[in-house]
Amino acid sequence: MQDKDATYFQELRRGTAVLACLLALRTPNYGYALLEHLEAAGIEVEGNTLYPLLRRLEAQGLLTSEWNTDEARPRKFYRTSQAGIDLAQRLSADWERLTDSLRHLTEGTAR
Amino acid sequence: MNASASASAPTPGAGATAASGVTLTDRYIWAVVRALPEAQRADVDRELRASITDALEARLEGGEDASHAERDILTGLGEPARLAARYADRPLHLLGPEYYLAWKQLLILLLAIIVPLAAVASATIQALTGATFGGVIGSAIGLAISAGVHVAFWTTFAFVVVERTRTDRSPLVPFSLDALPQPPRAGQPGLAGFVCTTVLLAAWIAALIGQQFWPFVTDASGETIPVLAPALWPLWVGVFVLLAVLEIVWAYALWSTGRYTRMLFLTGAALSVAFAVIASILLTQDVINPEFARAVGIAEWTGRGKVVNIVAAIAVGAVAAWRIVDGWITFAASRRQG
Repeated sequence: MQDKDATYFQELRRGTAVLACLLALRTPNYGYALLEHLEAAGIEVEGNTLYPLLRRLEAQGLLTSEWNTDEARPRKFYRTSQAGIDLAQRLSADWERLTDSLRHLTEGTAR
Repeated sequence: MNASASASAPTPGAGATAASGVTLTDRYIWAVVRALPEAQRADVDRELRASITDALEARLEGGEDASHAERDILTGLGEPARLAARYADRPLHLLGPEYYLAWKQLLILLLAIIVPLAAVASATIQALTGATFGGVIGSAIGLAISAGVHVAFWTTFAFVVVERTRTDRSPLVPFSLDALPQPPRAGQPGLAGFVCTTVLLAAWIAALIGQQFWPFVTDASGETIPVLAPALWPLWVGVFVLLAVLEIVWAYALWSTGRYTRMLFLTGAALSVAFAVIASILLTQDVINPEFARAVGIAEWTGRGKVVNIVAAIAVGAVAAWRIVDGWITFAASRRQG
């Protein structure tokens, strides 16, 4: 990726982190493991973006959290709330619609 | 996500000084949480510490050096203050795009009103209390600068407070189509031109009258030596003051009419001719007071037939001619546009 194009890619990906978190956290997970999980799934997000984002989504009621102290190291587990699942569904639908629109434009056919 | 590695859990901060026992991670986390509200600190501290330790553990399993890995992870998290701002959802700018335009417009408006007012008020008070010419100018400039700094600071301060306290992100003053400006037509005189002309002419009038009284140069007995020849005072100086006042009236008429009319062109040309003719005739005699010229050592340049008078007469004629031609071109252009 050339430097001058980097901004376009950044802008295109902005916002996908939220949707990715909401989808991934339907299974409860904690900060670092989620980072690894998203990376493995091909979603690039930095820790300094993800960790504050999780807390913000929690404050907005889209995630719930719970400290798990069963293991040697206490970890804060996040899970997508019902409101988060609803939002994720609507965002996904919009994403599908955009993909569809772009495919139509790529193929040069009117909708 | 099991705790299999807990037995060999890494200790962050292998690179920390043994004496203090405080690791780099401790210092990093402290730098982040100290900028957060008290209520969030403990929780963010605990979670961030776990995340850093998780990352460190993963790096150590890959066979990395502990100290190097810790530094790498913390560097990757970036500046602590920036991370804290993300946690607290605080802006990393003084004024954001929502308020920048309103701030700029208000600031320009306030500066344009308050700074000249402060300068004029200060100059008036100083002049009335009998300050010297330098004292009047100095205090006007001083108060203008101080008023400008205050206006800029307090306006910006108010906007910064609003940006950080207002949750509604809508514009403070909604944009209205009715407020759209009229695009200027070619050659249409603007307010800036009128203000400029008025300021310059006011300065010219002040200089004409002031030269008679301000003690720029004094004789042996302390009497003021006027710059202009005594024969010109008060009649001819009065004529030039009158011409300048008429020019201001003319500039106002041009601005309020909004375009060059035939009448404006003719009156403007008449004023130019009147000024050029009167000035040229006077320049065949002494215009600069011979006594003043001797006192400042320019006597051999000024006076009837001398270089200053000749150059001045040519310049006056050239300016008048240019003004008439320019007026005609503008008038013709505005007539073509209808």
